[in-house]
Amino acid sequence: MIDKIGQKRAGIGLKGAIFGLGAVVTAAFVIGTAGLASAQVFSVAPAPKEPSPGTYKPGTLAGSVDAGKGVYFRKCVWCHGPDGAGDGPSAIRLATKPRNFNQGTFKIRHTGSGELPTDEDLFNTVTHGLPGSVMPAWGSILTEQERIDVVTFIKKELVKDREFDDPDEEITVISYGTQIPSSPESIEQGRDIFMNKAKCVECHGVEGRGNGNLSQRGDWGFPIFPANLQKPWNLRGNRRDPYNPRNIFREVSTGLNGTPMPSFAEELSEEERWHVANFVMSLTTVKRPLDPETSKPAIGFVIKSRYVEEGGLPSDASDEKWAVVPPQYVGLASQIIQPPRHFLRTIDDIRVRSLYNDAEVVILLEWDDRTESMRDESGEAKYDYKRLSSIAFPAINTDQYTHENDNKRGPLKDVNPEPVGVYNDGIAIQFAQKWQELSSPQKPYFIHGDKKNGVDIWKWQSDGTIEEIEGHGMGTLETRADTNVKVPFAKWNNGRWQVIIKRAMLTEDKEKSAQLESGQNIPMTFFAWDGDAGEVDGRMALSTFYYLMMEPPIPNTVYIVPPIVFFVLIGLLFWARAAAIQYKKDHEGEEG
Amino acid sequence: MSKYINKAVFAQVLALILVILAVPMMAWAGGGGGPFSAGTFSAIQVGLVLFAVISAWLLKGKMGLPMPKLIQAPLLWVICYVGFRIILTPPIPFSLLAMYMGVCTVAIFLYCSLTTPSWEEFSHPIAVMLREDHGTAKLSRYATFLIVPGLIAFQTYSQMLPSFGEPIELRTVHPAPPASINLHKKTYNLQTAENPFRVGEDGNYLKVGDEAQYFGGNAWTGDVPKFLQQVQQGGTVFFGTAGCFFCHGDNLDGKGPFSFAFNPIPANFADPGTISQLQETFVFWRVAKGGPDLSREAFPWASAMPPWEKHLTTNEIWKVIIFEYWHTGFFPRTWG
Repeated sequence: MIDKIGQKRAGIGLKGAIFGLGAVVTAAFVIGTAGLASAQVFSVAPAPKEPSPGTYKPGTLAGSVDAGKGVYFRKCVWCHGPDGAGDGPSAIRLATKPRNFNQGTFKIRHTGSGELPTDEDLFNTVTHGLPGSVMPAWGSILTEQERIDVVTFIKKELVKDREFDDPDEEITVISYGTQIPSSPESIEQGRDIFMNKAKCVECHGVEGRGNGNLSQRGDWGFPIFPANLQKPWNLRGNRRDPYNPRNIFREVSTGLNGTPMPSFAEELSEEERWHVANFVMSLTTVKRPLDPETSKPAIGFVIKSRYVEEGGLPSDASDEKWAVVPPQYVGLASQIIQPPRHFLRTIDDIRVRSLYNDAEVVILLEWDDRTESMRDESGEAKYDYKRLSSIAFPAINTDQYTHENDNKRGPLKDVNPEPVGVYNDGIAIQFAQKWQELSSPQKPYFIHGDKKNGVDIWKWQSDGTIEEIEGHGMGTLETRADTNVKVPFAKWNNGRWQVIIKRAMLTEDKEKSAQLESGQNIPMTFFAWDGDAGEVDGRMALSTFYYLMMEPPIPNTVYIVPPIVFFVLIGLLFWARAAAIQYKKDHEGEEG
Repeated sequence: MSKYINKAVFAQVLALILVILAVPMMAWAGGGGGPFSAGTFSAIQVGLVLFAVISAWLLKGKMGLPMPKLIQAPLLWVICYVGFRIILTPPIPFSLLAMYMGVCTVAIFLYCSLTTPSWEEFSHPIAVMLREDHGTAKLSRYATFLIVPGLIAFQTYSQMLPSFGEPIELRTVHPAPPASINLHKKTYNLQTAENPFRVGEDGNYLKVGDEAQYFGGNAWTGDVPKFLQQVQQGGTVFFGTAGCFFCHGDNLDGKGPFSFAFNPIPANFADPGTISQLQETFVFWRVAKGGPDLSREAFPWASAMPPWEKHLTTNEIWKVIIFEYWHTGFFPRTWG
């Protein structure tokens, strides 16, 4: 190519220019696309290598058992236990229990229901972890060889009731067939199968939030709740690629061994399973970009509130005015800091939207909760916390450790006491009192403030209670007699709460009540309670600090000044052209 | 003559492209937002500079076309800019960047205008573009007259559009510790206190560094040495009693299941910048007193680290520290 151009050197001018232009644009495009592809957030991990369909003997991975044992006792033993029985020290703290390897029962597989997994399945589970549980993605921690070794060790030494080299063991690897791309028709067919033919709805609920049958148990007797399909980033088998329907197809085809999730390979044809997968993927309406570090939706710590010029603020969650502001994701953790510590919050995120006008601000809070709960002192909680008791883990000897909260020694039997009664569901927003006077970035302590800096908490409960609470630290909460907080809308439907909290921007009590202002970063935090999981008072889910930013309307000058700049510059350029022509005229003859 | 004009136009088109690309680059870099992430943006910049240098070399070396001053100047400018933006770490503040680029601009201008012929070479294509009425000159004039004001107007617009990003708050991760702390009715001098569970097989204090023999050891089965027994108990505190892993992660890398919800994120012990840079007593203070005891520059109001004195005994705190160093394979910092 270069030679050719070289030969035609004389004519290089314009062609060269066009070539150059083309090359620059192409290079920019190629580099740009490559860069974007590497930053592609929807598929963080490369696709796992899948075994080809067919019937085989289970694999015999040739890693080193000894090396694998070394890895296991450094990294895995703390949850899975010294004997692989799923009874490491963390087991008493977890709702999704660590896997008991002894029976050879593995959830995420490419093989038929009840069968052993393939080597690739186990390797990929170690590599990508099990999102939504505490099993991390070891791919970024252990080398490939270490992962092969540890899987070899688990297969040979910790799976005890079955043998991978048993001549009677067979595995049938599923076929993905031909993937049916998602389309409104496919989703519609999938919906029909989900609702009627396969009856997925009975466990996973009408909108897939896992709010169906809550009284099921797994093979080891621990209660299991159906998966919330609207949060695919929490699905164990998502391989850190949660928006890929292949994961759903695989799980529908194989079922999850040890859980009530059956295989539908017999009942549904390949096409039907693809339709179901497409329908399940369509349930997550907002496909949020994921944070590659956490494999959960990326979090922005500024909650943006938009100005509503006319027609008042919405008092219904379905009002189309909300459409101007996208829901923002707030991550929640359990309140594990102060007694009573709470480890197992069921609400892990809230979606927040906010609008305001000159007089008031409205905040729409949406969160998933499988049950609508109302306080009932003698009621039986639907979430069975017996699953958390250490009675189920005789192997964990905790006698020598501190009893929770009171420095008494004794077994950790009631670290997660079974809740007595049912409590209200609830939500609360906390602002700093007199935040304008704090010198940035100072704030009150994020849980209910501190002695010096108080907080103003707006709390709603499912029985209709609306409170404005003053806090100067946990245990100092005081409900104020006067409140300006209103809740014009609160509704639970198909596993989701939608609550609108409304308040005047400014109130009379400037000391105790937070005064809101547009154009300022106002520190705020969130709290949530799931009454059916025994959450009440300090047993709650919480966030650290976010900022509420009520964006001032954009001034008109933003739209006026740039066009003026544009035309003035064109004028200047024409003036330069006139000057250049004049100059040439004046110097005509000198040049030659 | 026509060949000369063609070359000039070529030069001009290339220069224009560079300017076109440089302006949005600056806008993206300055705004931090835009359609590209910072990483992608750097990749594009470096790629473009490489491309420009390679094409300059190809033009001059392989095609016998010396690079006109009008290309050289903006190219040099862009190379300087990319150099200051990307190659210098940590990133320099904007005011400094503006100063450096000011100096570069003056230097490049001097280089172009030092002699009459070089100034002639630099400015001639611009003059041709401005005044001549033949096809290519006209075309590039129209393009220049539209694109340059257009870009500057767009830049003005993006500058004026109010943006409400997250405020930048600089937090000190490891503030100065106090001289001593009171814990469970006992006073600990943080300069002199020692971890009582740092013991070898003979029961004597194990010097920092000597515990390396137990790294990677099995604390659970077979004959477990004394040191590893402490490790196992510390691990049971980490995973069972205290539940540290909910935030700090199963691999102690700060990526536990709650970490996504917290700002600041939990400390990553597997990172060589945390516990291996700290004395064991510093960690003891952090575990015992938690977030609320931090000084102002470390944002005590936002740290979700519990004051573990409320939940653990002093011994359990020392043991969990033993475990953290063993698991990560780091040694605490010493003054020795």
